[in-house]
Amino acid sequence: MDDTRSDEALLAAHVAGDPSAFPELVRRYSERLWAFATRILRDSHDASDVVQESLISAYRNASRWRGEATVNTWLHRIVHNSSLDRLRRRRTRTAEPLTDAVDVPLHRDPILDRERVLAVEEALGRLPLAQRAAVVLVDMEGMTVAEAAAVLEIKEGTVKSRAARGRYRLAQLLGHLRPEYDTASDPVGPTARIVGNDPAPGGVQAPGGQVRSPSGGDR
Amino acid sequence: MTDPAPGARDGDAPDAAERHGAGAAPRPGEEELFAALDRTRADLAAAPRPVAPEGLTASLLAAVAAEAAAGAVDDDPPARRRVAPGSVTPSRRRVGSSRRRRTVAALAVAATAAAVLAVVVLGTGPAGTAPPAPTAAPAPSPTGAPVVLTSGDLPQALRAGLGGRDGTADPAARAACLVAHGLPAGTVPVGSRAVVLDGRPGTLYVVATGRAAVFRLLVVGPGCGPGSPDTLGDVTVGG
Repeated sequence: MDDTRSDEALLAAHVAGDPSAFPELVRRYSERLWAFATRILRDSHDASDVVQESLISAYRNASRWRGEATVNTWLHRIVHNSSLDRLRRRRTRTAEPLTDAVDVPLHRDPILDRERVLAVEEALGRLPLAQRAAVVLVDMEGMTVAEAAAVLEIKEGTVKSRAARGRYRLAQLLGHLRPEYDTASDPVGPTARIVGNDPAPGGVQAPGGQVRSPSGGDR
Repeated sequence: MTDPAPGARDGDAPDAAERHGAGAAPRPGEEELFAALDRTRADLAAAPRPVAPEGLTASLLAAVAAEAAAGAVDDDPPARRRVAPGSVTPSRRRVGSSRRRRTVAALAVAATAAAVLAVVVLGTGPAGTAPPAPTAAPAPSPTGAPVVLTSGDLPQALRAGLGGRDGTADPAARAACLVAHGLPAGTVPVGSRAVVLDGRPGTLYVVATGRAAVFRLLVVGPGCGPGSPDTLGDVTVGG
């Protein structure tokens, strides 16, 4: 029988000692959180680890949730912060060459335009982490700006700005805008490597790489 | 591809993108830019979620079950543990006290009955000699000092293996190590932790067995890899 309790009711039931409550939240959110982590980390193996760590953290600390955010945003926030932690450790631990390979498993749907989907995922990977997170939450996960701000723990205006700039960059990478349009107006510049976030205290350097123009080749 | 908006001035595009995001109407000359941004948003909305690995949810449920089992057995206040930055800080879980006491008692009986079903400890020191004292601590783990265990501690090490991180740099190497122990490719441990077992540095993996509340605690040495298990300890607990 499907559990019809709301997410918030489940979390409260878990805190009260109901052993069936948290597993139901896991069933509801596992794949969504994994997809979010994969798009942030650009690595499906790391995403699995991060989601597991995050759910264990949520399990242990559920009593600290006060309802100031929805369970959805709360869980996404934990995953986002765990992902940042993983990226910091990845950056300090390894000096492995960055790769343009996209480790984002795609649906095996013969009708789906796999080339277009791959292009979107590749382009997404070329955004600075802060812009990528905002775009993923608002434009792919369907969150409101307020919800995304709660996940990222930034102001709503910052979410809007990051998402807008991310979309603009994606429009260029996806070929909806000519690359030359970028030359004078994009502060990153066509020859710069896209690494790191928008300037922010404690910002994390995201794994970056050489920018490949939509027509191929490295910049 | 679309030409830049003919009337747009250099430097205006990011601002125009922000106005587009706010739902504003395009200014003269910005129509094609706005159209391009609309197409981009449509592409993003239409992109399907990445396909999760088979068994992801089951693996996560097993991890939660292990946490529940470990939390019920360990009646001591939880030690301070590192949690993801920005997430809620650890606190004492308010599980119903009477339910918890009953669960603790039941699990204690089960653990005693099932304790040490299989223990394999491979030592390489000469027979009759004391195990060498650790001459060098394992490489510092990002998660802190490894947990020091003896073979006798291993069956109770379930909680130690949960929630920690062994600092494995290469998930592929971890996967190959687990395959060397007969586990299916793609197995993701429920938990892992850097440990020192009987004086030997290694990694403790907690692996779900597919049976409710039964877990395999596997300790491997640094040489664990394809065809080379480098097993330091292997015990199944719970049930």
